[in-house]
Amino acid sequence: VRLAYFNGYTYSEVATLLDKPLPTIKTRMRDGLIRLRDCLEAKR
Amino acid sequence: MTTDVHTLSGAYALDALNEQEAAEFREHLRGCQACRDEVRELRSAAARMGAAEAATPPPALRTRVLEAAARTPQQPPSGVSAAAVAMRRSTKRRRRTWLAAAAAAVILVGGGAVGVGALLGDDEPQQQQLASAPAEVFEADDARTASVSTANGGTLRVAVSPGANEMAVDTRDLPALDAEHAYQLWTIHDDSATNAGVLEPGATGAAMALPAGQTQVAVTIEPSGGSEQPTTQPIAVVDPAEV
Repeated sequence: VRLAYFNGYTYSEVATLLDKPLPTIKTRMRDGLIRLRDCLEAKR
Repeated sequence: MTTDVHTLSGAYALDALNEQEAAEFREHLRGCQACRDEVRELRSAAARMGAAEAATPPPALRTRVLEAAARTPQQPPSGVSAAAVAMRRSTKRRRRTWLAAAAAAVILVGGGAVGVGALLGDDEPQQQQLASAPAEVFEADDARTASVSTANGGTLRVAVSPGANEMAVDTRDLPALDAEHAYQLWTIHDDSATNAGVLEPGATGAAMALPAGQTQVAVTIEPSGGSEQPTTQPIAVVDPAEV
């Protein structure tokens, strides 16, 4: 999430950088954001 | 790709898809309310993360930008003007307007480049050559210059150009300060001091408008970033009228 949001990489670039398969990165971006959303909502 | 298209929502919300994938996902969004909701929520979460990380720019940056703007002379439309004048004589009004706009655009672009250069240049390590703004004052036809010994064992060179209504200091022969301190310029009139600019580390000098009569220019050592009012005794005081 950090690499994509703050550094502007595409998810396939992130996959190369972290040496992980594409579906893993896709899922992590989504799961990471969902967790972030849930955390933020809980705090509100 | 066998993965479910829905899982792209995260990457899409982060703008991390390439153009083709993004276009495909937008196509999918049109028919999928669940994904539209999710993208909206994930974007808002990402935006709040971004907002939490946002940094307030240091106050010195504002001062530096405004000072750079104040001491950067507006550039005459050199080069363009001659061509524009020639064209104006022989063409119709519509053309003229277009040319004036083009000339204005050239000036704006030029001014922007100078401003950015002046800002970036401040962060460079000790330069040998005097920065262009003060150098112009030192090299003016009517320039009067003086060298003043400073209380901390350095030499401050001062130039005054009444024609350009500017003065400048050359600070290359002042002792280097540690990272916590900076030289700051002041104009002093009737015992009241007005900030005239903080010298960034590695700055070679500064140019400023020539102060009115009975105003002195002083240099103090201040915490880096500068102070609202002088906090130390000046290391040098110069009366531009006596240069």
